[in-house]
Amino acid sequence: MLELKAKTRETVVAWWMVFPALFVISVIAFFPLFKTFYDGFFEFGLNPNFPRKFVGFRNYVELFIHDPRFIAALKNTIFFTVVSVALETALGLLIAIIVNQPFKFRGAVRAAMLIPWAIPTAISSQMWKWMFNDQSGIITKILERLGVIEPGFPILGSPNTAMWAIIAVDVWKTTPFMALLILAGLQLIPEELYEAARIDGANVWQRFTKITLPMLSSTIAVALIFRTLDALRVFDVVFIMTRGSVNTETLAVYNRVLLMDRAFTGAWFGYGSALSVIIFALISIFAIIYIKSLRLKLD
Amino acid sequence: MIENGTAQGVKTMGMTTKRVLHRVLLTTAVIFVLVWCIFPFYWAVISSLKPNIELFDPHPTFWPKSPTFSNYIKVFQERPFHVNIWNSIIVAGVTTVITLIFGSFAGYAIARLHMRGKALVMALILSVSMFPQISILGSLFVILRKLGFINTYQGLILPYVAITLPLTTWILQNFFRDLPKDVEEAAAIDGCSRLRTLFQIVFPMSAPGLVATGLLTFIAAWNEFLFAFTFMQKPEYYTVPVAIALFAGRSQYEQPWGQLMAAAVIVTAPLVVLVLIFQNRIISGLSAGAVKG
Amino acid sequence: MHLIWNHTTDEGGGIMKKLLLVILMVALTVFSFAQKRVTITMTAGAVGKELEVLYAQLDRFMKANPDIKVSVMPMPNSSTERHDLYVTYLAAGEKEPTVLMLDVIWPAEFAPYLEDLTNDRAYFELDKFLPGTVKSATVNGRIVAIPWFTDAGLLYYRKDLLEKYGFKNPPKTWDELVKIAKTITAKEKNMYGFVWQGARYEGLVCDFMEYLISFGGDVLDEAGNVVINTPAAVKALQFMVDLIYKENVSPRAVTTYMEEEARRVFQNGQAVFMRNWPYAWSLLNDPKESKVAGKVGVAPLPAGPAGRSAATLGGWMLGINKNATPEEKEAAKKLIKFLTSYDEQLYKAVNAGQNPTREAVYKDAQLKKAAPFMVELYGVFINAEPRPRTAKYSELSDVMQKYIHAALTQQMTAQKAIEEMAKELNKVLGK
Repeated sequence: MLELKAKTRETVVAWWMVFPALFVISVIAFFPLFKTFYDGFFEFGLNPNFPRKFVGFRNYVELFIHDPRFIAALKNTIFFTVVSVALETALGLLIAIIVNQPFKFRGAVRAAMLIPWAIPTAISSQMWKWMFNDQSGIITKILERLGVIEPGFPILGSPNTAMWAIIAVDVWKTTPFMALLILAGLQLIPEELYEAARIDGANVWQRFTKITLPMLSSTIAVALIFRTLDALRVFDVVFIMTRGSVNTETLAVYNRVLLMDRAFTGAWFGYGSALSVIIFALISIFAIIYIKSLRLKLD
Repeated sequence: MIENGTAQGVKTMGMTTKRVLHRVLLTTAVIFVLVWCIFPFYWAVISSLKPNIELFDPHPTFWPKSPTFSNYIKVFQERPFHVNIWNSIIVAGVTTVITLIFGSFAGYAIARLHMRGKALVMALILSVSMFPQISILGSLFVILRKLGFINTYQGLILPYVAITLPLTTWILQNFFRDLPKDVEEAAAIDGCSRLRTLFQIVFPMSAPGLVATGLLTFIAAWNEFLFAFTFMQKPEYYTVPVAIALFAGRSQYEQPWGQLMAAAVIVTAPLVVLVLIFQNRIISGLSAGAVKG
Repeated sequence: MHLIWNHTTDEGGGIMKKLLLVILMVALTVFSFAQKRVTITMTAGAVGKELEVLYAQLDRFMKANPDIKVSVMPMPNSSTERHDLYVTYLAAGEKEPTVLMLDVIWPAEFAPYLEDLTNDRAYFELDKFLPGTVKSATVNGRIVAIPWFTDAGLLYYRKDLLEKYGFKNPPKTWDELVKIAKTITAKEKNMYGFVWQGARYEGLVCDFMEYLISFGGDVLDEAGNVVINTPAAVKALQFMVDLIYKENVSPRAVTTYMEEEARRVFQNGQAVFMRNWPYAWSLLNDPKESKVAGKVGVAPLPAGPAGRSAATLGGWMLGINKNATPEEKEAAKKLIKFLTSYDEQLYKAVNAGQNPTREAVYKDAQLKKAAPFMVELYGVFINAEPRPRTAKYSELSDVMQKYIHAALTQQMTAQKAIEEMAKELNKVLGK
């Protein structure tokens, strides 16, 4: 009986503690989210000349069956996400481990490693766009010197290389994000575990695979969810570097065309909202995969 | 890896070689990380010091031929950049404090307390980050306008808290859950309230997590552009990313490259220095509390 | 005061009443003056000369109209960002900004949200404006914006190089341009023949239209039907493709160039010809910035096989937000009339280098002194071609960009690109 009362009291406290976060999110996000879901079932434009027409799931069917631009954007986005996130995670893990070792000026390196993430995206994307420029871009010059490309080759203008350039820039920018989160996870692994293992005779690799990785798995899972969620919505770096040309258009770039470019010109807003919902669904799928396979605990 | 105990001499030599190898590898790795992270920033710094005529030379140099500070002067001359920086500090700072508090409350409740529907709550909190920003922009503008929050600090802080809560809550929830329960249980037996336990025991023990999410939240709020651009219509309220987007040359088409690079340096360097100072301080300060407890 | 009170109590409030009445009248007058002061907002380009000039102009306006206050909402460079901001505000029914700075291709799209100014044609003296600009501001017979300043595509060339190789005049036809370019690049090191805007963005449509029309093609006819699928159009697109891959006159990277990239190549002395807007002129001739200062000439774009040269019309107009109150709209009209007056357009042209939209200004002696090439190239500005006029322009442009860029990056042939473009344009326009 006493235990039940204690549990109830605890539940009350728990809900009070969760309340502030839920409140802010409700005020800000719920109306826009529900409106987007709702709008996806209609055909209309923001211009009063294109009134609302209920069309059920037709927008979704049209997207998948009659819209090659959507399919291309879907492929590009998934390719970008899988490659970027894989590279960022591997590099992030590597950097976190390096920076977790004791050495002189470690604090300075930990601060410096944030730089790519700290520079505003608009500026760093422009900067990289310039470094890839065919005439005066330093990267182009270096690759020319190494004989990898011919002089004056437009890296951002060519279907084979543009997406890779964009991925490279995104990996550069977001690896610190992964590294920072993984580092925090590393710092929370108790030293005693490693000591005990060392005494038991485990070598570096065994300590890594039997202690480090398992203890990090939930942190990596959360970091993966958020990186993937950002990668599937990627906009700035693509838009600034190529505007989505030469087959680099991602879902968010196409979404902007539908929701903004065509806001007043036709009945595309419902269609664009349906695309937003598809992005949402895609993110959910990835999130569930991560949670299940890395056994992330939520309750 | 020669760890047999045959002869003392052999053992010592094996250890030294291993240590040297370890040192060399580590140093190389650190240098690689530094070059990787810093090279583009270095490029921004030297570009900001180059006069326009040198900037787009087809044979780029690694150091300006005639360095000048004119770009930095122009950045502050042509707009009240210090006002923009101040706006960003307030917005990002307040957002970070609020997000850390709300996020750790929610994270602690989910990790440690008894309640139903935890997975649902976490999913609801996550949902705000699952839509492209463009699709919620219009509706969010309408809401903020109804609340009278356009052209106010809270008009940005509120959305920023909403979009940084998901990461903070999920990460902190995860870290809190992995902490050893015995210290908290001991405190509970001693009569400590949940809140006190949170602040005096859990926080110090999970300091690295708090620092990481605090930094990421601050940077996210600092660099956000789309909302800041749409919800602040008066120049005295512009934050740094908006001010930078308004950099213009003598015409609509010209991009003042030198000034852009100077702005990048002005905006990023202090952030890095701040991290440098605070990261070590905060971690040691908070961890010290944990050791005592 | 004391005396008055004394009097009041004595004489039963006669003087007091009068005093109160005076105070009331003064208060009412002051109050009504305060009421009459209207505040309007205007969007404008962000910093630099353009904004400086505007502030000076607004100062003059507010001095002459003390009952109107104008505040400026600075906009970023990117046309895309300006467009998206307008969409968000107008869709939410915002009444600010009162006066919107509109790209020449936006009136049709934003028409439902802009105040109809057709009845004010005489008030704004639109008969004295460049007809192409007025045409762009007219949607289904309704005038929804007033042209503020204009832009047209021009051919920049290296006077010194042409002279060196014996070419007295800039090329009159596209073929001549190719010939001159090839001759010079064969002898000069690190030199491209011709740089232009070939990236996938609105500027690509501007460049394409210039070739298309000079080859005798068009996108829409007067009735709004899609007429792009013609041999002339294929030839025009093929010519652009050949510039890169057959004649080797333009670098492959031109498919990533916007205005600035092309200008920088030309400014570094690495190109013989460049297609760009008038803004580049003062930058190219600044000896502090440019390696080719003093060596640059500017001419109308060459003509195509159809015998005509075409320059795309650019520039900006001023429209009034339909959601504004009647007082604000009146104030806005006064402001627009002021900014587009002869004196202010001259001031803007001389100080900010932005081309006037009033024909008469081009004959002004002051303009001739300050910006001679504006006067010399008057023929180009008065004949500049607007882009296809349809409410669905942004969709049309998006489709055109896609296919032109695909042809330029050799992802499809020019023939196929034009065919597919026609098909998709018909779909988009619902025909």
